[in-house]
Amino acid sequence: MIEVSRMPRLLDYLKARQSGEVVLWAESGPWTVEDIVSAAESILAEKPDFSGRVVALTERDPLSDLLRLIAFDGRYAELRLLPRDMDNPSLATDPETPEHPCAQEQAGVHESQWLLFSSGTTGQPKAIRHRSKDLAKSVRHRPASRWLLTYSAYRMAGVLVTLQAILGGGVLCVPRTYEFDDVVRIAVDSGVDAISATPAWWRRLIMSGEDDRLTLREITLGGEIADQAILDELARRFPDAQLRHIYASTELGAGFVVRDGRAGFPAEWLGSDLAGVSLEMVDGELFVGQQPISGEGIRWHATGDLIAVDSSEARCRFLGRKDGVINVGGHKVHPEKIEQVLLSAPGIEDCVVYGKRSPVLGEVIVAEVVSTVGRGDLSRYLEDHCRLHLDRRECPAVYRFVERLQMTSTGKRRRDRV
Amino acid sequence: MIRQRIMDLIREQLREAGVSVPEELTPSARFTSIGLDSLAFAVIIARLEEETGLDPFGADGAMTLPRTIGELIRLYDRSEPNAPPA
Repeated sequence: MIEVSRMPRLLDYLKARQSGEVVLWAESGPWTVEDIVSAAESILAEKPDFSGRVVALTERDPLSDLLRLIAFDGRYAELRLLPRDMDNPSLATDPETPEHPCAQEQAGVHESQWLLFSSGTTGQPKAIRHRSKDLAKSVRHRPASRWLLTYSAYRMAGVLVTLQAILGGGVLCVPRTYEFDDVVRIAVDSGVDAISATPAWWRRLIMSGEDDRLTLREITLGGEIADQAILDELARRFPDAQLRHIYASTELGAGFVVRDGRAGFPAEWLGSDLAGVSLEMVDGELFVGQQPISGEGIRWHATGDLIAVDSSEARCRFLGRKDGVINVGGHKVHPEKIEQVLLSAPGIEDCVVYGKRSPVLGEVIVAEVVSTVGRGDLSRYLEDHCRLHLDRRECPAVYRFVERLQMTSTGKRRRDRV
Repeated sequence: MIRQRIMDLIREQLREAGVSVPEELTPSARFTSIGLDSLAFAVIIARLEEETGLDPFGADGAMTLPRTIGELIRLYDRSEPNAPPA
């Protein structure tokens, strides 16, 4: 186990690994410590001025994103990791978060702050600042493991996998893009044995049949609710692998891990301390408290995830999002946005959008529609209309035509799961 | 007939995804080989449940995810109320 409270910058850490040791595996094949150090140094040579306190890194392709991360960590006080799909470029230069005192340190050698962006509860990306040593807190010493990067290196989940692979002494296998076929190809070519991915990704792997070509020792699910069916299926297909699901978010970093192969988590965890993480249920919502590595007191986060205790099984289960956000295979969809698009179609009087359980993607989108014209070909028309204005994952899978919408006692649209 | 409906939905989803629809969809065809991704698959399952009320992936968590068109059809054949005992 590394001493995370004294984490050197990534490049120094790599230099301390054995010479000739393979650290990355990309499309071009294995990358040794020396390969990475020389690539990082040429990146640094192109950008010799470290007087800038902040560097904003915009996502390009997985390998170059990682190499820039390794090169710049510790050279700038702050690294801003900008995901490709972030549609608010002003955040690249002016995030509205308070500066951490460490950011004032002298330029040159730093412990960098990493600024990561969440998709935010209102759809606006939210900037969250982390210290790299806090992010590295969950790293375990796993020198022989070959990890697969299924998530963007500039999102929290990808950052956690990257740190685990590099600081845990393993190998990080980096796809050409995050398209499923590219990710699976590198997994097979490089002999990956540890994968962290969303339940939707795991289901897709199983349905593709490509899981037959993998021998896994460690399986992690995260990013959305891990249901019992996918946990059972993975346990059956990979009986020798350790199976775990992780509760993590951009705000929290790695929160807590469940290792018993069952959905949800033990109810007794509520109100108790789990190695620096505390869990509470307040009005049906999960609150997670964290003890910062060098800070004092517990910081509580309202997660927005609704939970319920199944007392017969002493189990706490996840029900969905408090804000109605629908999780389509790890992609967060805001129902209000879809409703606005539907309402802009002619003949639509009112509508409400909510999630419906899906055995493939966790959830899919349902639109309940009140129309002034007959339903006729309306659903076909609405499909075209949505496809024009929305991402594929945001388009409703199912349309229900109703006389009127159900309202809550305060006159709001009901988005309760049906 | 659910088999026909499944085929229609698959064709529809392939067209919507801009994938060329094979002349003949055989039961042994893998979803991945015809270009049907997991989003399109999820839409098909959700629509079938909406239209027929059948949810072969429901309560019983021990199901196996289908990989081919034939495996998907068998799942629905088995869950139809008048299906012969498996």
